Amino acid sequence: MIVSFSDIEIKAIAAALPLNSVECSSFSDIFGEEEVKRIIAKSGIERVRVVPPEVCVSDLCVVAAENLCENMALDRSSIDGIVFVSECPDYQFPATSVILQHRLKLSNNIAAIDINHGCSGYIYGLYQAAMMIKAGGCRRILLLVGDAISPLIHPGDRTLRMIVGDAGSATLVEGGVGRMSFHIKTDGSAYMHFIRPAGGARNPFSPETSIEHKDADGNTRTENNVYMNGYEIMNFVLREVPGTIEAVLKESGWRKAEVDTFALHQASKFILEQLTLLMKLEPESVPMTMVNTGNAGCASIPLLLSSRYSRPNNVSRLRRVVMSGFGTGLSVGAVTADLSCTTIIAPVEV
Amino acid sequence: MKLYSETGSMTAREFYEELEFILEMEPNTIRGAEALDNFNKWDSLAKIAFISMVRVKLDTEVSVEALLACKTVSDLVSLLNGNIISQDRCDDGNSTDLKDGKPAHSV
Repeated sequence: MIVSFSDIEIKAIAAALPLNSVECSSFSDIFGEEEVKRIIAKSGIERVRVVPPEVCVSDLCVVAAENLCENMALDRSSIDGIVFVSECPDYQFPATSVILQHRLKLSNNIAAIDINHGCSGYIYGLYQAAMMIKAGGCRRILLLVGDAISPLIHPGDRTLRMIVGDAGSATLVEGGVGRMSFHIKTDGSAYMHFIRPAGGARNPFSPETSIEHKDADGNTRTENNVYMNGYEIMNFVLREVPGTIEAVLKESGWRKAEVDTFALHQASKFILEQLTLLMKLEPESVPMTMVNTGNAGCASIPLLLSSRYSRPNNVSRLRRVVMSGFGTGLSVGAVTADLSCTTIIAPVEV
Repeated sequence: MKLYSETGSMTAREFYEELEFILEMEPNTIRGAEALDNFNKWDSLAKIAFISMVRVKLDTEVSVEALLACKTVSDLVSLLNGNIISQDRCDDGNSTDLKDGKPAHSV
């Protein structure tokens, strides 16, 4: 699926992080000092942000959105659409976007929609917002994207415990002078490789789903916890991401060398280094900011932009930006955009 | 960094060097018939690095199931049967020629 939308603009981006962080080195007692050092060296993550028990990702998104509205001196009544992308809704229902309409004091004359997607979620959110605007259904959309899955990770699972961080973001999308080209791919046959097996209609929580199991690599988890098959994810990422990016470059008429910034999902330093090698990118064009936050899932791209390019922006790195998210689904998406006129606001810690 | 993807192949010695790098071993250590369990760093990190090495250097994808079933270095070579070519020699004069995916000389 390759498509372009003209006259669409990303007007502003903001992000919010939990103040609370956990040092990855502190896991030495559980996983061994040598092992932890190797994981840190490969992942590039020294600390992960984790929400306290009473905080939901929607709370982080509210903070980001309030910050965005204040910075933009936004007339909230002008927002006629809200899109919330997360794997961690406040409730199974109603949709969290509906609750956020109320919390953010937005007009009642507004469309509110939730999207359940993980690491490709920011691309999906932009795609959804662009379609709603281009179809004439909305003029100005508040896109809230984030995940707080740290509470869902078993303490004995080192594949995720030292990798995953929590974050929320807010992005304002509206009609404008820009053009965005999207490519999204889906492989549902691999759904089991990144999943929280229990808690949905297919496999409700039960005493059986709470039984701990140890996998062949020594990681402990239950079906109530998140599971990620790192091997299959690596194969998927290296197989699909380069082609997705090539497709949006072709659709946009951009050459790889003309791209200022490849804002890729901050999965880990190792994965981004491999993609850089595979696609023969200039390392300077592939920023990495996961060291102090962890892999923030669907919020990792807006968090990267917020952390690295907030005002005063280095505008020269934002004229031609390729964003790509990949993971849960399994799914992958990429989009091209000019962010040189986007108001990018530094992250807030809460 | 050497990329073999244009030819899609590497010699056995070059393959062992890539594996030595992944396993953080001294060069010219691996001879080809070692059991993978004997390498204390043949863990999940190494396997992911192996998957990536094969893709980046040889433009090939390994089946995860097949990779996890490998017990020896020669099993890994067999996994990449069409990509690992022979005609290379160890420093000790023994050939690293491969026969049916396994070292032709005894270790």
